Amino acid sequence: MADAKDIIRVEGLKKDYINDDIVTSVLHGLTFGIPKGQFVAIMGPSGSGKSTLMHILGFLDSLSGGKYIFDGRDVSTLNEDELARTRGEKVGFIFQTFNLLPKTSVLDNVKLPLLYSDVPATKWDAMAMEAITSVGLSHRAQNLSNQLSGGERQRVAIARALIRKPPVIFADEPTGNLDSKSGAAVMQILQHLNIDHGHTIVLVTHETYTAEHAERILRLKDGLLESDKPVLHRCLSSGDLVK
Amino acid sequence: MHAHDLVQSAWSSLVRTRNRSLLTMLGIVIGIAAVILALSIGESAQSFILGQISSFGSDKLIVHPGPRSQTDNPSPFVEMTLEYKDVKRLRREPWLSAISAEIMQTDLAQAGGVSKNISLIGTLPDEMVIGGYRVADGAFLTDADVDGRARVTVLGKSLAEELFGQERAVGKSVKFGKNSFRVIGVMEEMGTQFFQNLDELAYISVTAMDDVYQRKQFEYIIVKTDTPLEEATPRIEVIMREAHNLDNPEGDPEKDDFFIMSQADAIKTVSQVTGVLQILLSSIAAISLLVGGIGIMNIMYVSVTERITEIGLRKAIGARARDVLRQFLAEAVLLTLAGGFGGVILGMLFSWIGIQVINAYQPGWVFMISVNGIVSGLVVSTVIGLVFGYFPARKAAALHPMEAMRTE
Repeated sequence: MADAKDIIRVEGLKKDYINDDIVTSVLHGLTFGIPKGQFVAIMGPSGSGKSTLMHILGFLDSLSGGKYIFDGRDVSTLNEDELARTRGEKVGFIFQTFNLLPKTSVLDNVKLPLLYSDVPATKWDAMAMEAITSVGLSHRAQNLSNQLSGGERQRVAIARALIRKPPVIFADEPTGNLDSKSGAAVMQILQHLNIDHGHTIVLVTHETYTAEHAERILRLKDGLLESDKPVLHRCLSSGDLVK
Repeated sequence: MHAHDLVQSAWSSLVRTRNRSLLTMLGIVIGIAAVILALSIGESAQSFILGQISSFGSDKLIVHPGPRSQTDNPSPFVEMTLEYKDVKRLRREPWLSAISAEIMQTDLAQAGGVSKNISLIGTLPDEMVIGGYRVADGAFLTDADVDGRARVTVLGKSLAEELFGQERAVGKSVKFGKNSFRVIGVMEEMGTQFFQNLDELAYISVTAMDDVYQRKQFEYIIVKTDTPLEEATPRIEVIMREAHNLDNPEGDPEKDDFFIMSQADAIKTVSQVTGVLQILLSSIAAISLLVGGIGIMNIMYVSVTERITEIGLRKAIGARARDVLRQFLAEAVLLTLAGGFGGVILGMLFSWIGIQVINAYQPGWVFMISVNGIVSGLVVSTVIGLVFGYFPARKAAALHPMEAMRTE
């Protein structure tokens, strides 16, 4: 089943949490691959392990067993610094709660990942403005993060995830805290990034409607892969969603 | 991450919580200000005292009663061993150009309905030569006054004015306690020397002091000589041992019942005393710095707990553990360094005000900027930031990105 084109490949992936000697198994051995440029949604009820899976795939959490190959490299061979570098260069995160720095301008929030890069500081503003413009917020660049609406905040978070042009974007319930109109706008941007710019997108959601923006849906149940199916009638968000 | 970007990032974090940052800084500001104040006033005091001592001159020696250990461990119970006969013996040495002595006594002076508590100095005619003083009116004490045990006095300028107003004091009578003295002279203005306002004093002879107050032991004898002091000192020691029947051929200072000090010795002693004083004051001030440092550590711990999500986010977007450590350390050092600058400015302001206040009571104090104080204030505040910021920063750096993101 291994495919050389897979940017993400997991085999027998397991995750246990140990708290005061009590072991809780969350993921019981998952095997799948995600080819470069694919838009995948991970679905499942609460407690199914979908967020845990995304955190492991995004190098935010470690695995307890199995194998995780990212871009041809076994992640278990990477040390802390290499993991940090991979997080910075290869992936971008979008969180349900946006996680913007409070009382900080949109521009400074979007620039934040560059602080941990080798990009010279003279280029930061231009790069940040490019990312902010791509999510349609150039008029808000100097506003403080707490002066924005929820939808705008999530678009700032997307701009922050994009600034280093990572091949993979992880979105953890990105529309969970948004009204339907703002949610639709966010999904439109994600689809645009996937279709027009070739970003691989891994989306975690519990809403079927949101998941149908993806090409493929992985369903988890009790830490196991319940189903892995392509989306037959993909929701393309250009017209009807963004009314 | 470049240092400049790091400082900028740390600065923005502090500005985001500016009220808390300012309050936290206050502890360091007060601590550093207290240290600067202690050092600055200490240096001004030292300079003032040394100025007073240098007015004494480098061609004089003071013979004190008691063993030399007096200079290190002064005791109020020193046996007073110097008397008029010692002066008479020293007068036989032609290379000593002037010899004087002093006995101090306080009493109530009364004249023409005015009364005032004053200091009386029982002394000898050579006091004028030793001190380089001059009389404005009349004459100073003479050997005849001393030998004749005459009840005569010479008044300081301001004392004469207080007792007799615009009238001429010479020839008038003044009472010290119950005893009447005739004023034979009024001194020219002399100012402050050795912390004593000389213009407020009254001089009488050592013999009159003995008769009226039953005090014949001198507090010290002063000699003036053209002989180099390092040569004069052992010669006087030999004479004094002989006069006091001391068997001390090896010159052990502990066997003597007197010791000789020069201006250089006095400066050395004063420098030691003020140095100790500065250390003492700075140590007390340092305690407030310690408290300030603990305040910084406390707030940094709270900050780490509050910003767990932010730390998680920073790690998620590529920050390494050491980047987070540096960020929090930089925040702590910026806080303490800014506090240090504030403390230096505030400390200098306080010491300037302090010197103005002291000057109002005792003129002659000069405001000194303690360069040592400023440099050590800034260095110490940086070190406090590093030391007290390290543990919270290490805690932040050790957070697993996922642990940090989960806590919300």
